[in-house]
Amino acid sequence: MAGFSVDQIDDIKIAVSEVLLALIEHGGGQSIEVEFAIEQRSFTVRGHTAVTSFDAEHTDLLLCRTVLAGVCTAHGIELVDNQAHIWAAVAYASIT
Amino acid sequence: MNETSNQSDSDDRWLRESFDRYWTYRDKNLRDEIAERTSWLATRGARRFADCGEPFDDLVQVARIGLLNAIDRFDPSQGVPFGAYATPTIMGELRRYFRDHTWSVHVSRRAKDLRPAVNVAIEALNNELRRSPRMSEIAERMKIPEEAVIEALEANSAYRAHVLDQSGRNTPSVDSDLDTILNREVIAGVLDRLRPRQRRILYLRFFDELSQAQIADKIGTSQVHVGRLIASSLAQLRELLQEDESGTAEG
Repeated sequence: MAGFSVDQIDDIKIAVSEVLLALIEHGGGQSIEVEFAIEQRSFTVRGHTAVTSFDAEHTDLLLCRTVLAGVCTAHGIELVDNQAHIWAAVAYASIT
Repeated sequence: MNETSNQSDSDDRWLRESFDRYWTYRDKNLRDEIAERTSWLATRGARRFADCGEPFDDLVQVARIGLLNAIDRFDPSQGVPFGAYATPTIMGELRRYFRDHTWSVHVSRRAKDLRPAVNVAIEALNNELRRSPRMSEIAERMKIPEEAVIEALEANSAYRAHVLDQSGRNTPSVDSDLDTILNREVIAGVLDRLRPRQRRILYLRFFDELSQAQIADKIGTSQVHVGRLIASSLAQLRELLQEDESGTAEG
C-alpha cells in the first residue's frame, strides 16, 4: 500500500487480525461485517457483529486493547444496540 | 444433563427470581444474599488487577462495592445476564480506585529512588553491549539485587502514569492513557508465563512501543521473523488468558 512503511503494514496486519479475532471470539456467531478504508491519511478497519452478551472488560479484550494501543493511532471497542463494534486506525501521517 | 449443569440451572433460576423480587421490594437482606451468591464476579474482577501491587483483599472490597452498585441498578426485565451487566460496573469501580488512590501501581521508595539510576545504567550497557542488557548485568553493574532492578523497571511504567496524572490534563485522553497502562498491568501478569524470548518481544513491542524493525535490530533477527514471533506469542498469550477465564468461571 502506497504511503505505508513496512512497519506500518505489519501494524495494519496485526490490527486487522485483532479486530477480526475479537469479533469472532466475542460475537454471537452471526455474520460479521467488515469495512476497510483509507481515510484522513490513515488506514481504518471497522467491524461489527450481533452479540447476545458482551463483556467489554473480558481479559481477552484487554489484551486486544493493549495490542491495538501498541499498533494503532486510535481504536475503539464498544457495544451499540446489541452489536459489538470494533475499529482500529493506523495513520501514515508521520511518513516523510 | 449432569449434576453440575443441574446445579447451574438451579442457580440461574434462583438468581432470576431473586432479582425480580429485589427489583420490586428492595429487600436489603435479599441484596446481601444475591451479593454473596455472585461474589465470584467481584473476586474475578479483582484478580485481573492482582499483579498491580495493591493488597488483593482491598481490591476485592472495591470490587464488591461495584457488585453492590450493579445489583442495585440491574433491571431483570431487560433480559441481559447479570454477569454481563455487572462486570463493567465492577471493573469501572476498580479503575476509579486506581485513578483516585494509587494512579496505577504501588511503587516502593527504593524503586522510586533507583529508577533514574537503573535507566542510566541500561542506557550505558545498551551502548557498550549493543543489545539490551540482562537483569543480571544491570544488577551487577549497579551492585544491587536483581529483584531491585525489576522493581525499578516496574516503577518506570508507574512513573509514566504519574507524569500523565500530574499534567492536569483532565481530558478523556488521560483516562485513555491510564486505561492503557492498567490494561498493560493486567496483561503483564500473564506475560511472565511465556518463554523469555516471547516475553521480551511482546514487552518491547507493546510496552516499550518499539517497531518490529527496531526489535529485529535489537535482538539480531529479521523483521519478518519478529512479526511471526509476535503473532505466535500473542496467540499463546490469548490461550493462557482463556485458560484463566475458564478456570475462574469453573471455580
